[in-house]
Amino acid sequence: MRVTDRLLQNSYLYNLNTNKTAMTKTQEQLTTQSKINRPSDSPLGTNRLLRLNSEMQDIATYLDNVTNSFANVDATINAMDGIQTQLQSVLVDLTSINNATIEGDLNSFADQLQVSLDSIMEFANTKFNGKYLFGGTDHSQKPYGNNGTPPPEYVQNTTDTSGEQKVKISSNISQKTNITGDELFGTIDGTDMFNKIDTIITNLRAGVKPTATEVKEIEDFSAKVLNKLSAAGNIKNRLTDTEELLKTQQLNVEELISKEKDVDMARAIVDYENQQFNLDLTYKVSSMILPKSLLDYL
Amino acid sequence: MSINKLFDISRRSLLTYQAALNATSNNISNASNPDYSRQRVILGAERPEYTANLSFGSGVKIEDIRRVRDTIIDTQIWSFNSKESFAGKQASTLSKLEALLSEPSELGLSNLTAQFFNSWDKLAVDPSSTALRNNVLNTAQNLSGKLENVYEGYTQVKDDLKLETAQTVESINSYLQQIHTLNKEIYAVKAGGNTPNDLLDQRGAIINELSSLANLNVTYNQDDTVSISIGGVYAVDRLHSQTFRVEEDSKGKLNVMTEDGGSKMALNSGELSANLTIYNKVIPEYQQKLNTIGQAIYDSVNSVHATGQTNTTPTQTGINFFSSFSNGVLVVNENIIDDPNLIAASANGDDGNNETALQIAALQEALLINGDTISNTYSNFVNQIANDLQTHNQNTESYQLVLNQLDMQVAEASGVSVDEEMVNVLKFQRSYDAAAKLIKVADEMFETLLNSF
Repeated sequence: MRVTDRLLQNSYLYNLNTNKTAMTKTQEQLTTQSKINRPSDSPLGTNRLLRLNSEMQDIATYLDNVTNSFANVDATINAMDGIQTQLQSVLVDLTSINNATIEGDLNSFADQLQVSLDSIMEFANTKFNGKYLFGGTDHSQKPYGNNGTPPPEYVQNTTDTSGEQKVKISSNISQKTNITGDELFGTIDGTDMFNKIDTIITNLRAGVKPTATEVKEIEDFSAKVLNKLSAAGNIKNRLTDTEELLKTQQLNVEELISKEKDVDMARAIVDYENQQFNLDLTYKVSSMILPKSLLDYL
Repeated sequence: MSINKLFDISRRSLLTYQAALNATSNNISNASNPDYSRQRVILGAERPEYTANLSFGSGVKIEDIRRVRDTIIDTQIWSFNSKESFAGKQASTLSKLEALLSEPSELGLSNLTAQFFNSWDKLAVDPSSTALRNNVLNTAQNLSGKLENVYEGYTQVKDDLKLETAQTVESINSYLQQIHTLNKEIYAVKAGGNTPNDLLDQRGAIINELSSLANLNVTYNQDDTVSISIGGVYAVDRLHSQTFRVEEDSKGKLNVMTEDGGSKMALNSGELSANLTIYNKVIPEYQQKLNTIGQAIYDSVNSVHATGQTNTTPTQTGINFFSSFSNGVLVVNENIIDDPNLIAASANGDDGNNETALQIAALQEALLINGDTISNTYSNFVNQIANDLQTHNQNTESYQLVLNQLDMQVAEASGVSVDEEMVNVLKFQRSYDAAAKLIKVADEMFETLLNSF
């Protein structure tokens, strides 16, 4: 082999360049702490990363949705709890009326029942966060009202209270997060809770005691509210479970993302030191060899 | 046979070694010139003199000053030069296109698309909320802004390429002119019986430059001139040189052709070819993909949105969310920007109904483009650019490796070794000394002869 000065220079420059390229790469990884800084660093990895990132976003959205729904469900449960308490007190009153010892002023019973009924109406029209909880999906006006002209005195203002408020809590599950007015109170046509209690009140004021059938109907209403309370409890449990699940998923996806792009710092630092050592060596050797020629010895 | 002959031989030696030292010094002074091929002094014996059945040598002469060059390696270098610059140029342009995508990051289209569709999911939780409606608008504007940005960026790169291609063709024309001139000079020197060593080096260097711009076919002629054709089109020889120009045809494709438009270059490597490939094929294809994605978003969101009801009194339906889409520009309906309540989230007009919002959010999972989702189509597109770029990067690297090897071979054969030249200097200097000494000897012989009378 014939060794010429250009040959030495070329190979020195080539090696130096190779060293420095490797160092640049490691340096970028160290400073960004990411293996994938542009798609061409790893086309397949980028593809996965994009997918994982959008999964991450989806999960965050679902989590947001769950958190926002919690307050709604809690408010619904509180309102139904209130209705249930009032119905219980109505039932106690009805039992007392039929109890011979305190039989007397039916009017005062009527007053007590009226307070309970007003309270139930109040709960039925609960507004939370700008929305009527039992208005279905129509939040433009109070769902229930009193038009003052019997019968029936109590009416439904909104045409439809059966709208379900569905919230997406995973890519293919939409969870209903409300108890509709329709479910809870049924059709407001005189056979409903409001008008039934109203009828009892009217009768009491006329001196007529409630019949056993009427008491039974109120008991049925109470049972229905209890039933819906447990349905709302289920929704809440479902949301809690989903929240847990989503958080676990979030962790999993985070781990996958980290696996895909995070740099093994210890390894990168060792690599970098190694490369630096190589570079130093290249400089040293070249500074020793390159300037030498026969001229130095003539 | 006279003493004069001794003078003759010595004088010839002096001149020869002086010339040899000249050649050596030329080598040494060009030791760092990358285009230079070392020149070897070929010494030969002068014609002998025949007297009385004896042959007397007449001393030394320079037979030739030979340029040491392997033309086969040159041809290989030119060919790999073209390939390397083809891959290199494509890689550098593609990396610009890649950078415009800003992936993988929060600012990329992938993330912005997901944000846009998720904003509908969020709106579904509270469909009458103005804040959430504004959020939908914001994410839509971010998405359309980025899409336009990428598309425009690609157009910008394309425009730059067009300018660059014109400049490249100018350089090619200028190189061809220079080669033409050198061809003529080389022919003249050769015809005068001399060796045009340095002219050959100069021409080699220019062909080298030319080869990185386009794929060449170089033919050596008997008279040391070269004939070159570029992309199958005759470009230069001793007698003529061709001028090329760039033209954009009616389909928006760039072509390089001869000045008279007679023949088109069929390029397959070199920078010029890379420019044309990216301009004519790659960028239009990528922009087409972006358009497909934009169009799918435009069509699908609008078709669902138009069925929904707004949150106004009275409610309205049949409203488009995006007002137009063409060439990467996705425009959000101005009226909706002015009044976010015009976003149709409700299916039946109830302000709490969120079915339309949910349907739009579900479009993210819908198979809208050739049986694939929008985000998958996009990530496949990113994947394609990344793969293309990676291939070209790897090709560049491997061609560089080959070129480096070939360069080493050239450096090994044609490069100047200062050590070797210094040894030659000593050798020639000693010979020169000896020849001078001989003259002294001849002189003394004369003197002896003259003094003896």
